[in-house]
Amino acid sequence: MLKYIIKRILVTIPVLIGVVFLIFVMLSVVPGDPLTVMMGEKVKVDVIERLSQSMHLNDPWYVRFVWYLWDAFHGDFGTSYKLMRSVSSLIAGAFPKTLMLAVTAAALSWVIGIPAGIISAVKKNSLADHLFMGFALCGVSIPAFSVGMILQNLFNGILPVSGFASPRHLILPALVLGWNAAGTIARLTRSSLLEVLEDDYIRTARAKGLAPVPVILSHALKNSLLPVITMMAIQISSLLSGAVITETLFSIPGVGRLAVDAINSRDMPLLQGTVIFTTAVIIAGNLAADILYSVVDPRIRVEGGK
Amino acid sequence: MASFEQAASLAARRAVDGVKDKFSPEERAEAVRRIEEEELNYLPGPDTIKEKLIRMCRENKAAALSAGILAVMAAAIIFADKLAVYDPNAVNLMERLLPPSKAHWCGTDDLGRDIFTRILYGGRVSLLVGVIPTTISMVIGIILGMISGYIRQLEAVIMRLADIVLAFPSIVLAMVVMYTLGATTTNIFIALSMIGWAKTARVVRSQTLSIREQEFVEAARGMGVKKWTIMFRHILPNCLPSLIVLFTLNIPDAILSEANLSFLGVGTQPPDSSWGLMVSQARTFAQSSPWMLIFPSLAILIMVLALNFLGDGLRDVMDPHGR
Amino acid sequence: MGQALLQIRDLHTTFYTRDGLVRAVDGVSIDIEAGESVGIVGESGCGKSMTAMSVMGLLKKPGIVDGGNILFDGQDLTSMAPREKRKLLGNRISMIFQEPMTSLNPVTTAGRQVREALLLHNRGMSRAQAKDRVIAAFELVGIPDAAKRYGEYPHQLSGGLRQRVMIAMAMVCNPGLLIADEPTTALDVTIEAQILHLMRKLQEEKGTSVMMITHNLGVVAQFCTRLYVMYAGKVMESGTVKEIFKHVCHPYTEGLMRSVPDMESKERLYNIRGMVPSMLHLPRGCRFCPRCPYSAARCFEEEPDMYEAAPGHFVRCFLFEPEKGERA
Repeated sequence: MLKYIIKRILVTIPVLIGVVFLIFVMLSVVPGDPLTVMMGEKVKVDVIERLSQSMHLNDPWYVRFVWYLWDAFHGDFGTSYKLMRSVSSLIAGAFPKTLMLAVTAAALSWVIGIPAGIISAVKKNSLADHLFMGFALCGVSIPAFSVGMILQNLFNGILPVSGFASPRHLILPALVLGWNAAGTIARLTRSSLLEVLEDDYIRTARAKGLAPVPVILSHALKNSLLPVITMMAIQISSLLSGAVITETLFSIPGVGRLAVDAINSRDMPLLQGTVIFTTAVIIAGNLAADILYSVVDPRIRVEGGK
Repeated sequence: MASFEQAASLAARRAVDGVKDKFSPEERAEAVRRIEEEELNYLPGPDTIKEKLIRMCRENKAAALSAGILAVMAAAIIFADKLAVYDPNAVNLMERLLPPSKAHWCGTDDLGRDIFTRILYGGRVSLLVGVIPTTISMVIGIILGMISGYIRQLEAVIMRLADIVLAFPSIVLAMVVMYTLGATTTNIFIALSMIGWAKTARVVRSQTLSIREQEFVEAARGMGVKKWTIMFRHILPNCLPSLIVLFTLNIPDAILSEANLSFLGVGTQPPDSSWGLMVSQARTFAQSSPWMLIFPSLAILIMVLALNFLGDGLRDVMDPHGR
Repeated sequence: MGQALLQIRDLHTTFYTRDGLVRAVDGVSIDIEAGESVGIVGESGCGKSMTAMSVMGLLKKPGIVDGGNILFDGQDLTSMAPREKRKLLGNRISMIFQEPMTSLNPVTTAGRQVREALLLHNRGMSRAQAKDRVIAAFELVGIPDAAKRYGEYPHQLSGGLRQRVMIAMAMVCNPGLLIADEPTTALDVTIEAQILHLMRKLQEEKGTSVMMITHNLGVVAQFCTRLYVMYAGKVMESGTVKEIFKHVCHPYTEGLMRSVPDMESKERLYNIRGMVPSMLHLPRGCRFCPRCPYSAARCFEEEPDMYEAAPGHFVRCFLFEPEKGERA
């Protein structure tokens, strides 16, 4: 068990380095002198020279990569060209907002998605099943910003539609982000539960004389929610992806918004920092879900099995 | 005591002796003829892909309807220049922000352009973005997936690469690629292909791993058939059903990605248009002229929904266990 | 004649599939007396498992019992309210399944799964009492280290041990009837012998009736007193094991017996020709006729009844139809 966790952690390290490498290389080929972007055209030559030295700008790209990796490992993602503040502090200021948005949306998606999935599976092909699944499919079929704009117009004046000042500001963005996530969760819960209900041990439980509801609650659900845990990890990725859109639409100063701003102002270190940070969060989330899975599933937890 | 086996075979030999001449030879001959006749129509083989499609259309009304809707939409988009009355880019400030009417079915936008016409033309980008990058990424994914399932030395490299690509939130990676390459429609194709292959590669690899263990592949290998021949003649055709499903479900992903990129300003650029760009251009006017927002949104919703229904239907008939 | 513990009367179980009706069980009648062990034999797909599932009420959609009665201890299971029926299941009637590897819930310990059955049917029993009973049951079915095994998960147990857990689960409430659906098919031959020995011991000690469903005539010969041979949803031959093994009548049963490998015989192993017919396209007359070495034209047109070949020995074959004059 411990061995499994350590092995799982070790596997993520090359992926993480690869992520940094990929982003670094892609952004290095973008033409344009960062110092010009940073300070405009009229800067003294010796200032440029000094800054170039301290930012390793004169070194070949692979040396700069090692420096970047080294600094990033110490939590230093460089300085934003445009905002002239350290990227780390900008992310540290923005991330709590993104986290609050993502957690609210995720909670919403579980509270709605899991029960909807269970009801749909148990009452397969009923009206409720069709309604829930239709709603779930719409959630994954319409762009988040379309939904967001429609909601902004419907609730204009009733709920805050922009900014991030109070919990009320979270309602609409969390709905937008949560609908998509709830759709995915509901569909997965349904198909996973339907599959489990066909398993032999469900027949055994029924042969004991257990009523349908206890069969589902005490035998089917635990097994069918195992893949849903994996889905929650994948969900971290789609929630953070979606946050980019939702934060932009609702003017929430989160990490996603920071990345979009960085693109618009061609602020390379900020873009690099936000992308690497976001991806690292996702990798950590996947790792956590894998470990959680191994704790929940006795086939992995208790040694002696295959 | 004699063993059970002996008892059984002795009993069997004695069995019907007493009565087996009860029927006349003519009757027996007639029976033999009947048997030969019936043996011809024993159990049918497994369904072909064509039969599966027919079955899906018969049993799954939503999927059949979706296929129909998609065909109509695709035809309308392809023949947009024959169908449309207006020029999609003709600015007419006298007729700006008109609500839907007989003349303008979906109203007009802030520059007085006919929204229905623009949806037809904008659909071209959305449709191309759905099909081209999906095709490219699937071809890359199939080749890399089969290689990593079949050539062990390359497996680790390819799969780690896929891990890295899949680690990114997809919109963010696409955003960075578009930033690097510059925002043009061709670059959207490139960006989405660069990202999409990883998922396909994983699916194909796991399928290859299970198919390569089956007898017919072992037999082919035993006869000295070359690796590449085995991959393309034996393994690929067996992956086909799940690839068809994957293809159908990847198209809506690509369409939504393009819409998101356009919304963020790194996708389709004006004066070109796509449904996603039309929706984001409606942002300023959505309150006063909701039709600018509603109709392109509906176009995306209907197409993506239809593709998802079709994909689910295909999955049910193609590989019922591959959820 | 005394009333049997289980009386299946003209049972029909049909699957309403998209491609047509599948009559998986087509007019089957079976009696099992208290304390008796009865074998039901046939190839896979002959309806023997579906008969058991109909008794248990565990048919999967789209299958339903649409004719006949199943009387257990005089009560009709087919018309009983589900809540009442659940009181019998796992308690008075229990079942063990073919696949010990998958029939236990992988995320719950073996002991708890057995305890669940006990607590369900014994209101007021405390968890500690139930645990002791389960451990005692584990010991009874020959699970070594019963107290330790109680807390283990199914994947930690071997196939033989899992089947013992299933038997413990089935026997823990001392049922009147045990339905065993191919209980040893998935096990090694040596384990098979142990499990059969165990079941025989339990049956003799507790006086439980057993319905043994199998395709293996060897299991029947060892275990059962009476035998029903099923083919394509119908009973083809029935009688005591002794009688049938001495005077096998139905050509299908004959084929089954000749397919048993005999080490001392030099003959080539017999093989019933053809395949089990698709249940969607059954022959019009006798269901076995296309594969029967003795069939005649008549077999393709009419369906034979059950004829009494010897007292208590019934056969569904025209070869054993009494001549017109003979019928008294």
